[in-house]
Amino acid sequence: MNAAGLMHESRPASPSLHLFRSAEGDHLFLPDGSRLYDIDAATRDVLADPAGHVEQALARLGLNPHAAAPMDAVQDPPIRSLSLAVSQACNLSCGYCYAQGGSFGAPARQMSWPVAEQAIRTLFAEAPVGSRVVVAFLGGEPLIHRGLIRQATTFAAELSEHTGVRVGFSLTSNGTLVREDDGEFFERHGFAVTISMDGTPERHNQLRVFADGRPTYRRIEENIAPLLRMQKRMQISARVTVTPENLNLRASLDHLLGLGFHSAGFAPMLASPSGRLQLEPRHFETMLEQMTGCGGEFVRRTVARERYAFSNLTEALRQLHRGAHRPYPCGAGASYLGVSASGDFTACHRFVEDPLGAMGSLASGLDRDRQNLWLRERHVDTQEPCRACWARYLCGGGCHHEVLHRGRVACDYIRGWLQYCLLTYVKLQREAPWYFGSHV
Amino acid sequence: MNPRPRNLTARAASPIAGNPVNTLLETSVANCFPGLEFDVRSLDRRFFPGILFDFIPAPWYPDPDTPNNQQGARVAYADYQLDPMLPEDSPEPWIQTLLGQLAGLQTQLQTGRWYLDWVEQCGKRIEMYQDTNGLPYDGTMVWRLVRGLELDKPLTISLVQRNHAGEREKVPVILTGYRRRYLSANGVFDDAYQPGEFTGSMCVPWTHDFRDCACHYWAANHPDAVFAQPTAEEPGGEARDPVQANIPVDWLRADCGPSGAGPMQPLISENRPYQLDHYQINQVWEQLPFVVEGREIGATYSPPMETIAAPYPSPEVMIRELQNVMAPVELTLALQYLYAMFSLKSPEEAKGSPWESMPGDLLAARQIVMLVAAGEMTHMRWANQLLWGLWRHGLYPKGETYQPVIRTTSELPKQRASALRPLDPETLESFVRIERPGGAIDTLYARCVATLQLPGYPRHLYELAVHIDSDGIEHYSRFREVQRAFAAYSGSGAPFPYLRTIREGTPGEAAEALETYWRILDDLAVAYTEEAAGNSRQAGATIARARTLMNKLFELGDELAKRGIGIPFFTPRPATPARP
Repeated sequence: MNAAGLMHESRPASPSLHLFRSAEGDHLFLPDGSRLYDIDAATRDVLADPAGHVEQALARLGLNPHAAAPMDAVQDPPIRSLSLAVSQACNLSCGYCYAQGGSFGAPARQMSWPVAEQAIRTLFAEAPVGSRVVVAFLGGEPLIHRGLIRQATTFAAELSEHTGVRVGFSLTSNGTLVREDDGEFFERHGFAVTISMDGTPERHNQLRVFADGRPTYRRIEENIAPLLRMQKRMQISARVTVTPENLNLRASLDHLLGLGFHSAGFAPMLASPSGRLQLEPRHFETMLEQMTGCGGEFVRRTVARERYAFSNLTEALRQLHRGAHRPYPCGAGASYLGVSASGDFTACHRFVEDPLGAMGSLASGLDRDRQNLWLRERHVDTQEPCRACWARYLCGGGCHHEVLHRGRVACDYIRGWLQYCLLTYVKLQREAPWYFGSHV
Repeated sequence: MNPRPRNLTARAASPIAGNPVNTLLETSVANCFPGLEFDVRSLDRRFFPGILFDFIPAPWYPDPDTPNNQQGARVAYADYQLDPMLPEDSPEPWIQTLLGQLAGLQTQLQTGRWYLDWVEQCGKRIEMYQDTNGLPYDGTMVWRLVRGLELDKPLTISLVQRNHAGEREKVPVILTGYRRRYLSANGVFDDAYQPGEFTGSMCVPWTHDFRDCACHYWAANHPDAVFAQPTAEEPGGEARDPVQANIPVDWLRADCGPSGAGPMQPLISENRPYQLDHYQINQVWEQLPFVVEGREIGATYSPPMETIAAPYPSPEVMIRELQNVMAPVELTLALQYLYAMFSLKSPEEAKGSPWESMPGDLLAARQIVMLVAAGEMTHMRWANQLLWGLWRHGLYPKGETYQPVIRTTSELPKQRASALRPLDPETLESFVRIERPGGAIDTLYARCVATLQLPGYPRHLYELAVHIDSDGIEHYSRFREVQRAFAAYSGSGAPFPYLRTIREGTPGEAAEALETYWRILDDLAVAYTEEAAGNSRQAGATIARARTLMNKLFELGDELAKRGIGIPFFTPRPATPARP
């Protein structure tokens, strides 16, 4: 099915269910609990009848439309993950960056050790023995402040040993400053490293440039090559920000996986501060076409038992198989919070210096009232047009930062992609059933 | 089935007809030590018609203000009106007499504490006191005496009240009847027992019994000695501190933090103070960790990554791979490890070193490296066994017969060229790397396993391949143990105090050792050929001879190494001698 077809077939008809057809037959998807069923044609006709009473029809099939626990707004969630904006400055100047050159539109800043220490202590303070917390390093370009990353990591690892709270680390970097000894450090601490790269060398250089305009590809490639070779415990993934300038996703994906990344995936640029380089509605069909092209290659390789780590699809398949369902797009403002260089809590790393996502500070404590208000207001069941959409508990309503700054412009694309993922899930269950035994 | 659930949440939400598994006897959590599904003492509480007793043990820590002498068979109450032994319209005189007595006694027995004083049957009377001062037997003892009563013979009992001081009041109540028949001829319990009576005294809540039930008594329904989940892990999930991770700890330990995981002690009494207590387990039983393969797992269990391996396209491709890669790699590794072992000082040589622990560490390290080298030799045999197994099942290419593959290779997968090196930290690290879970050696047989599980291959070869495939993990942990032991001595850099100064000798210097080594290879070749032909007995004799030679090689190698000479195992053989 082409992109236009996917978008058409996935348009919202009922908030209670979604019907679709694959080569295997007819399928029913229930948003509540993200449950997926095979149904016969007669059942499909009953459920598809716009005049029918959906809940009664489901009940006759023995299906409770509300099988999952009620998706109430989360309240007072424990903090399990903090991202530290260790450096609110960047040596790159990408036209689309949400952080506007790394400083979030504010004066460039670096996090001090007392702030980092207090953030980590806060994270560990409430975590029970045996639970896992995550410390993420972001910026700006975090490696500008390498010393703090190392100090904070070592400190957190020691706290972990003493408290029995397990800790994971992640870092998102532009790759221009990373050194071989960083790799050894990341490997020792099992970092999940994400390198932002925008595809093939030409495209990348067009989009991701040093502050003085020089291209960055060559430097990144040289820097990360030894890291890619040494990754055992650490995982180095590539993330491509998709703009109208780099829509040839298949070429990007093949290129990045060929470099040796553990996985690679795409994030559409939906809201750039300047409005430049963001995707417009006319681009989404191309984007979806490209994504499904990558998906086709993933299926082909997987059936042949080859690895092809297209992370958008592997993650979607995992979620669909498990029936993941959630009323938020991510943990932002809930168990995941950002900490700015000056020690303010923010809903996530993107809301640094942004009053929309302010949630108190390390000094004054997490502002639980603001947080709970956020969690009530951002709940997908309160959002429009989400409330009427079958995909709401898969999508969660879309990135808070993008929605608050640009609205929901990509719904057709997101649904089309989910439709493709559902079809691929069904297809792989037939052609590579082993995949769901160990990979998802 | 329509609709048919497909993903996990859909499957979980689908009701399945039939009794849930937790209603089956075999899935129950036994409510006492397994085998005791109810408390047999419940039966004897009603041994005498019309009266319900409680068997009371003496309190361990009696409160000074409580009544004295509480132990024994105390009358709970008279319960005669619905007793099937005592029908109101019975013509039996003893029943009518007893009913009359009980009716008059009801209030009396509710006043104060009444106890079983004595029982009398067949002219014998047993008093329920352990001495002449009137110290009563414990409830358990009374119960045992009551259990000795016979059926169908007149039974007289005496009940007596005890005052606060525990002394007997003067006037007993004497009743005569028969001991109850607990089971009918059909094996059904007597109707006098009320629902819940048999289990009423069982462990309540169940967690208390769950806590106490342990392997020292019976096959327990929970783990006892386990390995804790490592707080820090290496790639592949190995503990960063393998020694710490391999000390058994008590599953019931109250403090599950890193500092609480002291080693489990050999005696129950030594572990008891650190275990969850009854009041604690009620609160935290849900947090007791699951144990998989002897190790506690965290909140989410991630099974080890299944190696995705494609089967070989044909038996021939697999055979070539076994011949050209696996078997040669195994021998090459065995020799590298052996060479490295010889480079270690003997414990005697390390005596007088400033490190007191060094002789002990060397003794252990030499044994460990030797063990791993021997393991690789075993793998070489298994690789050959796969080959001759395939040959015997007619899976060899036409016209080809099984030939033993006993040779080295100059290339190890994903490693630099094979070389004989002393066991300095760099070499040791390379050994760790090569044996690492998910590494080159660990996954060497993955495609063999994937192939041999296909139809058309003999099942036992598949099992053998799985066995080789899963055998390597030990090697990794063992080398890491050596690393840990040697870390203490590596600070100063080369020369490392635990190493002999050793170089690869010339063929002339090591002539005898080389000759012995080659004779071992010859013997193995003969033995494998015999095995392939099905002559296990002859093969066994030849293997035994090879083993003797291996012992000799060990002595020769160690002597040479003391003189600074390593055996140049990779020396090409001058000319192939005729096989016997």
